[in-house]
Amino acid sequence: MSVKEPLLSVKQLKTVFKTRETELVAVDGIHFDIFPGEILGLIGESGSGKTVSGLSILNLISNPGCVAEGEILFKGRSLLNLSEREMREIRGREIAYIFQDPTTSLNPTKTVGWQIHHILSAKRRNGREGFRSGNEAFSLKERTQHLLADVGILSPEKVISLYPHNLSGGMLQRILIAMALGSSPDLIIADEPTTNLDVIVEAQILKLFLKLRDTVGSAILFITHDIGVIAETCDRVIVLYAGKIMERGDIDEVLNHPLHPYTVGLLQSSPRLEEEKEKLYQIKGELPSLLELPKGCRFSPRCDRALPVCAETLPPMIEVQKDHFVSCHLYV
Amino acid sequence: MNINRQHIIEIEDLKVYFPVHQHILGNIFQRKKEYIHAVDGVSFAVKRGETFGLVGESGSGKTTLGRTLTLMVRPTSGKIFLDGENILEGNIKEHEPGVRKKIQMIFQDPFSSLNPRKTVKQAIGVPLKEQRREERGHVEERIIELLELTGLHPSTRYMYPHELSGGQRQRVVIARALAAEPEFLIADEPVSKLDLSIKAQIINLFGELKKKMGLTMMFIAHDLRMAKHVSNTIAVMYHGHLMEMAESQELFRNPVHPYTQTLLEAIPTLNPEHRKAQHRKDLKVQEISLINPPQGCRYFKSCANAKKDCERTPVKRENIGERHWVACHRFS
Amino acid sequence: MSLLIGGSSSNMGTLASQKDSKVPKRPHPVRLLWEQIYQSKSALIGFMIVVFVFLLIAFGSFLYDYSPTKMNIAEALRPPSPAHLFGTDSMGRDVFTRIIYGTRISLFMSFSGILLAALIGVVIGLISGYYGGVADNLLMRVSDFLFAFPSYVLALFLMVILGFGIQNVLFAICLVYVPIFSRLMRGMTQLIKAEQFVEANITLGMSDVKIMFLEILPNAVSPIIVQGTIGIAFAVVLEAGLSFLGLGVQPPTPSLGIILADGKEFLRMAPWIVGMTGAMITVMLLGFNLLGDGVRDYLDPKLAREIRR
Repeated sequence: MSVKEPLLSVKQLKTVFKTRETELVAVDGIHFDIFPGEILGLIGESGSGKTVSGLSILNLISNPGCVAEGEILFKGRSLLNLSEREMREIRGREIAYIFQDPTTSLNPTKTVGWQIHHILSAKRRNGREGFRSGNEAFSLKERTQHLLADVGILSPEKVISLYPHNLSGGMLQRILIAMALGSSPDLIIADEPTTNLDVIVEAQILKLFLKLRDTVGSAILFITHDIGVIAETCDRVIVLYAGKIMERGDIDEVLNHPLHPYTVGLLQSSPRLEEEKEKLYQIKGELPSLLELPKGCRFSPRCDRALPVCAETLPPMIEVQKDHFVSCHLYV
Repeated sequence: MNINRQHIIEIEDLKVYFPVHQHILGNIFQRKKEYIHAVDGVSFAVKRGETFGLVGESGSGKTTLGRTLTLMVRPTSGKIFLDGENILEGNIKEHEPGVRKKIQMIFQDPFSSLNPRKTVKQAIGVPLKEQRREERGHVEERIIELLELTGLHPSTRYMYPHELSGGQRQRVVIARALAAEPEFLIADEPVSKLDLSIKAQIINLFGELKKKMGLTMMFIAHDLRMAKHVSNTIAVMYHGHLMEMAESQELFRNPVHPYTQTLLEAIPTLNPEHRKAQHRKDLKVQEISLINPPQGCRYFKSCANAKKDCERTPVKRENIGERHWVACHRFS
Repeated sequence: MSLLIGGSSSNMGTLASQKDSKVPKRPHPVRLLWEQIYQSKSALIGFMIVVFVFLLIAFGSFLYDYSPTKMNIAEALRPPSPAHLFGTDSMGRDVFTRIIYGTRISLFMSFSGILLAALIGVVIGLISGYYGGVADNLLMRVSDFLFAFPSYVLALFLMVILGFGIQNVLFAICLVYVPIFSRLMRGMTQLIKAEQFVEANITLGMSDVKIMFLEILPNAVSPIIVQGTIGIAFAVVLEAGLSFLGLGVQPPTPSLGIILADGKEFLRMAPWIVGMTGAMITVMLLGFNLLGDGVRDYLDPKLAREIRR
C-alpha cells in the first residue's frame, strides 16, 4: 500500500502577534498533515490557537500578527512564499474557509442569490465537475439553485431573493457552506461551523459535511471546541492547548485510549447522557494567559499527574502507538 | 389550580406576545396588529428546593419565560404564583421589589453581564446596597464572603471585568446574584459561552451552592446533557409550548414526545457504538411562524408521526407515568 | 482569548484565607491617553498647538502693556513691527492684544456653551433613550425642529429674541448643540440599555435614575467627549460669525468676530488685521481638531471593545 501524499502539510508553524511591549505567540510550532478526502478535527479552547492556525494556512493573519516561522505546503507548493495575488487565486477556489458566525459573515445589503452568483463566477474552476454546480452546462442561476438544493435548502428559488437578515442561523450556515463548495475545493477549513446552531440543525449540518466529503472528495479541517462534534464526523483529531499540540491521532484511538491528561480531562468533563454522576469531573485552574506561559508543558499547572520535569521542560512529541502521537513527559 | 405550599413558583396559562413592529403607515390604516407568540399558554410548577430544567432550542420562548418571571418582560395574560401570591395581579410595578428580592437571574453572556466600567466590588455592591441595605462597614466583608463562596480570591474585587476570564466573570455574576439572597435562582444558559474545561467547574459550583444555600433553581438550556446533569425535573419547550415534562432520569429513559426523541437523537455522542453521524435519519426541520401559529400542536410540521388532526386540534396533556406528562395527540 | 492581567488567582481547592487586599497596579488612564497622543504625530501637533494657544492667551498680555480697547488714533493702521506684533487697527489699538483678549472671550463662550449643551443634551438623551414612548417622541420632535434650521439661522434667531451680548451668544451655542448631544446620547442609551448588565442591575433593585447615571452614562462618555471637541471648534467659528455680523459680542469688547468686522473695511490697506485674526482662528481649530482626533483614537478602541463583544 503506497503512502498517500498529504494534501496540506503544516510544518513547525509559529504565528505571533506583536504588541508594543511583547510578542504573543498564538501558535507555537504546530506540525500536522491533512490527506485528501479526510476530515481532520482540530479541538481546542480559547487561546489554544485553533482559529489562528486556520487563518494562517490561508495567510489571513493581518497586522499586528504574522507567521514568524514554519512552512505550509499545499499540493507541494509553499503557501507562505506566494504573493497576495497568487494566494487570492487559491482562496475560495482550492481552499475554502467557512467562518464561525454566519450572521456576520454575509453582506447584509445583497441578496443571498447575488452573493452566491458572485462567488461562482469569480471562483470558477475550469474543468471541475463533481458537484453539479461545477458543470458549465448549467447557467449561473441554475448552478446557484443546485448548490442550495445540495446543501439541503428546500426552496432554493425563494431563498435566492432573500437577504441574510430574513434567514435563520441554520439557513445562513448552509449558505456559507454552499459558497465554500461553489468551486469544489480540495480543502475546506471550517471554523466552528455549528457552534451557534441548535442541536438538531447541527446534526443535519454535520451530516451534510460527511456527504460533501463523500461526493466531492474535499478534505475538511474541522475546527471546534466540541468533542461530540469531532467524534461524530472526524477521521483523525488534533488536540490543541495554548498554541501547542498535545495529542494527535485516529479518532477512535484517541477517544478510546486518550493519552494526554488534558484529553482525558476534556473527555471526562463532558456530561454524557448515559451516565449518572453527582459531580462532573472538572479540570482545575484557568486557561493560561498567553502572556505568562509556563516554561515547560503548557498544561502542567492544571495537570493532576504532573511530574517535576513537566514544569521545567517542554515535552517532546512521541509516537506511542502507530499514528498516535502525544506530547507528554509521562510517555517519555 | 390549588395553590400548593410545596411549590415556590406556579405558572398558569402564561402567554407572552410581542407586537410585530408596525410601519408608521400601518398605524394610520388601522391594520390588525400582529403578534409574535413567544410563550403561548404555558403552565407548570417548580417545587421548593429542586432544580427545574427548561430545555428548548432558540425561538422556543425559554428565555422569554425566564425574563417574565423576573418581571423584566410583561406577560400578555396568565398567572404566576410566587409563594402563593399572584405577582401579575393588579399593578405589577408594585410587585417588582418583592419579586426581585426573591428571584434573581444569571445570564448567558459573562461578557455583557458586567458593567465594563465597574470593578467587581462595585458590581457586587449594588444588590447589597439596594436590596439588603447592608451597612457601610459590612459591605466589604460581605463581598469577600461572596467571592470566596464562588471560588474567587478576595483580591478579585478590585478587578475590572476585562481583566478576568470568562469563568471568573461568571463566578462574579453568580456572587452578585447571591448577594441579593434570593430564594429562586434562574440560570439562563449560564455555561454555554464558557470553555469546555470551565463549564464543568461552574456546573459543579451551582450544585454546591444549591446545597449550601438551599436554593431552588431553574436551569434554562439548549444542551440536554447539561440539563440532565443538574436538573431534577425537565420540561421540553418548543415554539412557545411545553411538549413534555418528567423527572430527568425518566425523560431520558423514556422520551415519549417526537420532539424530545428528535432532540435526543441529534445529540452527538462520544460512545463509539452509537456514533453514527452518517447513519442518522434525516431530521426534518420545518420552521413554523411564531406570528400565526397553528391552533394545534406546534411541532406538527416537523413531526414524523403527524396526523391530519394535529395541526388544528389543541393539544391536551396526558399523564403517562408518575410525574411524566406529554402533550401529543397520539396519546389522547 | 482569555487574557489574565493582574494578580487574580482562582484555583478551586486552594482558596487562600489570606484576606490580603492588593489593589493591582494599573497605568493611570491619563498616562495611557498621553502615550496615545504622543504616538500619533498629528495628535501631538494638535496638543502642542492647543498648549501654545492657552499659554498665549494666559501670558501673552504681559508681553505688551496695551489696552485692547483704548483708542489711539495717532497709531492707527500701523503694519506689524517690533512695537506692535500684529500691527494696529483703525482705532490705533494693538491687534495682538485684541486678539488675545478676543480669543479668551471666544474660548470662554465656546467651552461654556458646549459644556452647557452637553449637560442638557445628555440628560435629555438619557430620558429619551431609556424611557422611549411619548417622552422620547416629544423630545425628539423638538430636536428635529431645531435641527431643521441651519446653525447660523438658529443662532441668529435666538440673538434677535434675547438680544446681543456674551451671555446670549453662549445660549445660542448651547441651543445649536443640545439637539446634537441629545440625539447622540439617546442612541448610546438605547445601545447600552440592551446590554445584559443593565437588565441585571434592574433585577438587582437599582432605580431607573441610578441606572441612567451610574450604569449607562459612564459607558457613553466617549462619543460625547469626541463630539465635544468638535463642538468647541465649531462654536468658535459660530461666535466669530455672529460677532462679525454685529449680532454677538458688542464693541468695544474684542472678540475674534468683532476684530474681523473691524478689519474688513481695511482689507487692502491693512490686511494684517483680518489676516492675523483669521490665522489665529485657523490655528486654534487645527489644534482642537487634531487633538480631538487623538482623543477619539484613544477612546475608540476602548469603546468598540466595551460595547460590542
